[in-house]
Amino acid sequence: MKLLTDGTKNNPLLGFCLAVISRHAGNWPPTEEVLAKEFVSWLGVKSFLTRDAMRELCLSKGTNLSFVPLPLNLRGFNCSFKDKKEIVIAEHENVPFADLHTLLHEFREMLECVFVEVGCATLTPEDSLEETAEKFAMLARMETGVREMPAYLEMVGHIETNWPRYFGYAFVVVFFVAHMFSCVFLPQFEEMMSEARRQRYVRT
Amino acid sequence: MENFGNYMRRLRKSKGLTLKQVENQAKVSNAYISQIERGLRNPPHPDILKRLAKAYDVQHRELLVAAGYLEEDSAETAKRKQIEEAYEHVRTDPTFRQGTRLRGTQVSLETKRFIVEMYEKLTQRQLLKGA
Repeated sequence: MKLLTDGTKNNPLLGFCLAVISRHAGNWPPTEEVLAKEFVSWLGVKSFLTRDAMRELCLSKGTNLSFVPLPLNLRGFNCSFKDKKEIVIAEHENVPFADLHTLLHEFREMLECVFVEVGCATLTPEDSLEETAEKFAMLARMETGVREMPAYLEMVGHIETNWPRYFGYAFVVVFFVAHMFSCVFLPQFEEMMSEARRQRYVRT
Repeated sequence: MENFGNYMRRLRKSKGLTLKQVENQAKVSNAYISQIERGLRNPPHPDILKRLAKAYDVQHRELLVAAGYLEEDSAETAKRKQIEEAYEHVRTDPTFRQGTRLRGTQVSLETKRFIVEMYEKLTQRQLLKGA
């Protein structure tokens, strides 16, 4: 274990994976929900992030993130070679929060590579990494909402007048529900948007 | 070379399209497409292939070549071969890990080329020469 942990300085993802393994060694693998929760807490990701904020966040975890025009059917890409890690996200993503979803998806794939390397895969050969990464991205985005909700409610609680406070609570709840809805249905929205774009292309 | 009907069926499936969806998008009867896919009809006219190419989101030229209307350019073939070989090398290099978030399941030539370029960037090795 010493040899492995020695490498975590230049490889924060490895550090995270080893910490997860040590926490859940008795009950391996952890569920995707648990993994997503711990990952969100470790990465410090929020439900709203600008692309610059995402870049900084990734850089702080030893991963380069860039947004570039990608081939039409490619939404995101991740790769690692030695200690170099790269994530690339399509610049043309036109569904709100799709870039964050893709980022989390790519991270999940990278995590699995590390788990496999240290001999603690979380998936069996029958499991689809693609589907697991989609689920992970959805759960991680939901977790960001759950984590931020109390802070928003507390902020609204400081409003002294009744009606604006009630309105504030209602706004936070509606916002929370909309966020959860967008987490669950984002892949479907993406499909619809891509289909619409393709239809436009066919017509022209 | 793969027969045209099989090629068309594989292309449609890889894009996750039903015959009805192709009919709606390309304005070509689904019965006709089905017959082409089963090899009961000859490859359609280039104008129809143009509409199908748009529905399948591929180059018109690609369908023309598959239908036998055009010879595949030898330079184009060499380029394609080079990218495919380089991609295979990248895919099987145990020191390089990669993953994608794709729409559909087919890894297009363009995507393969992008992955190879990322490999070249990270590993400082050159696989594509002038492709």
